Amino acid sequence: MTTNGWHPFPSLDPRSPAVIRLRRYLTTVRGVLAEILFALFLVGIGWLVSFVCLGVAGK
Amino acid sequence: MTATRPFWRPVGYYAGLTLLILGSLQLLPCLVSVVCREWNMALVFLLGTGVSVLLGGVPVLLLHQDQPMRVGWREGLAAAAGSWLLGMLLCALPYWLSGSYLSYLDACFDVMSGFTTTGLTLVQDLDHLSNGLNTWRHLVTFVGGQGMVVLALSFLAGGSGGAYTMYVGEGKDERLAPNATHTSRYIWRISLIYLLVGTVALWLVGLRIGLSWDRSLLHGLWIFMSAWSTGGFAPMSQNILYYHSSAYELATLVFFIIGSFNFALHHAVLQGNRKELRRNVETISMTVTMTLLTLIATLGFIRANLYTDVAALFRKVFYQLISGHTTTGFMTVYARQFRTDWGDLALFAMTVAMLVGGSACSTAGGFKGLRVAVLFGAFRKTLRQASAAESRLIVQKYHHIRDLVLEDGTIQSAFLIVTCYMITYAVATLVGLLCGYPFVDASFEAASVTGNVGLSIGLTTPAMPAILKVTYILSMWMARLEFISVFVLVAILARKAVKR
Repeated sequence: MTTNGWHPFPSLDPRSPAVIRLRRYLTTVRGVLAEILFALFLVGIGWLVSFVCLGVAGK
Repeated sequence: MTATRPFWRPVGYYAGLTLLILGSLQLLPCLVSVVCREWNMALVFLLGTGVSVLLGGVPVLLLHQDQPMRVGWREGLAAAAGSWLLGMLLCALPYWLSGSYLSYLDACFDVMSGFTTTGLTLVQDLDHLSNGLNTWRHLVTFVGGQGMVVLALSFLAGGSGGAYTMYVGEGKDERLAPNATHTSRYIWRISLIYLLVGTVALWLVGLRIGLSWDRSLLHGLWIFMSAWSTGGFAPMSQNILYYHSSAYELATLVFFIIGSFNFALHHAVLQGNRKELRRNVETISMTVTMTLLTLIATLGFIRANLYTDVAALFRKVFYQLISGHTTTGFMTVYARQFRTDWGDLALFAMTVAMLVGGSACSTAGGFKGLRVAVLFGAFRKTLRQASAAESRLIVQKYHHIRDLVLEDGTIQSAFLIVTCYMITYAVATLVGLLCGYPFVDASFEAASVTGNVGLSIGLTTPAMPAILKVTYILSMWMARLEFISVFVLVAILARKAVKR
């Protein structure tokens, strides 16, 4: 439900158990994706440090 | 007259329950053996299940009581420490009966290495191990990562009064739910979500690099269990180097980094609090130490003029360093390359990374990023207090799930655990030196066992002296349980022995 009252599926009650469960699943999926992205960010730092060090050393 | 509380009743009951569940778990590799038509291994697992269920089930039946069992701190801590030792002795049975180990001690070493998510191995001919035994090795490390007491607690019907003491005894202290049983179930739920995601991801990468679908699936499952638990076991002797694939390396890298996160952090993020990833003191601590240590190791390699392109440096140096930092132990180089290629500077960075380890209340070992942050905070607080006006009270804060004030008790506890780690590391190094190994080898391997890492410089082989194997088993066990529960168990056993 948006702030102006529009809802993509008006027949679905946002407080129904199915919608709550779906929202919980989506939150979990987004959490998993966020953790994967954060791990990739750490990997990126490693890549960057290696790249910069080699660049500075002129290799 | 006050009645003394029966000490052995809760200890025996919960240790029995843990053995019962570990024994039942052997039915999974038994199933894999049946599917793969490895009939001998299937029989071995059936025998292992029978023995474990018998030895675990008898105390559970005899000591069971209808009223809730009172478990104090000493009972809970002793039950946790004792369960790990008994679990090692029983779970080693299939290893030993498989004929892949030279002695029962070697089998026990591998089980403790698995349970503590270390990843060092003394197996013979790893490349031709049966699928059933490989499944059992990786399952042991997966269960060890979450904690076998955590597994046992998650089967309890309701919240047991003293369950939290056993949970703490296993080196975990975060409450994700009001009681330990629900916390344990939540830990398993997080791990099973990732088991599905990770196995599918590694299966697809395996297919892409040319593995057959069944081999890719089994390897994906095993490698994921090992990566998530920051274990380091792999089905092939060349470890991750076997796959010769940057995609496989990247996938494992992502999963073992996530595996080294605190379960409280996973809980917060999977509940929708994604900002916690960049605010948490442990992720900040890990980012800082990882960057600094990568810098030091890279400088070492630049000085040695080795791995002079980014891809090689990333795959051969950064991968090993992060594998060490998260205490995983996956390798994309041969063990002896640490001795021949890695100079002193890079080995120093690696040793520090292995000792620091991953996050508290995670599958990782080491003295943990949280304690590094706490000690750094204490240092900062002392400096600020010294430079401030005498009447001013300095309050140091840090963010871990919520904003916390750094208290003296937290600093003392962190200092105590870090000291215990350093003493264990020093003793393990000393025993290595007494066995005749060079300092670099003894020190590297000691850091690996104390941090529950599993990277090896080539010292851990079936030919190493038995005294060193026992020292490493004890080091892995004590470090994984974070010492206190082991000290409590030893103190109680010693007191009982003296009384006799």
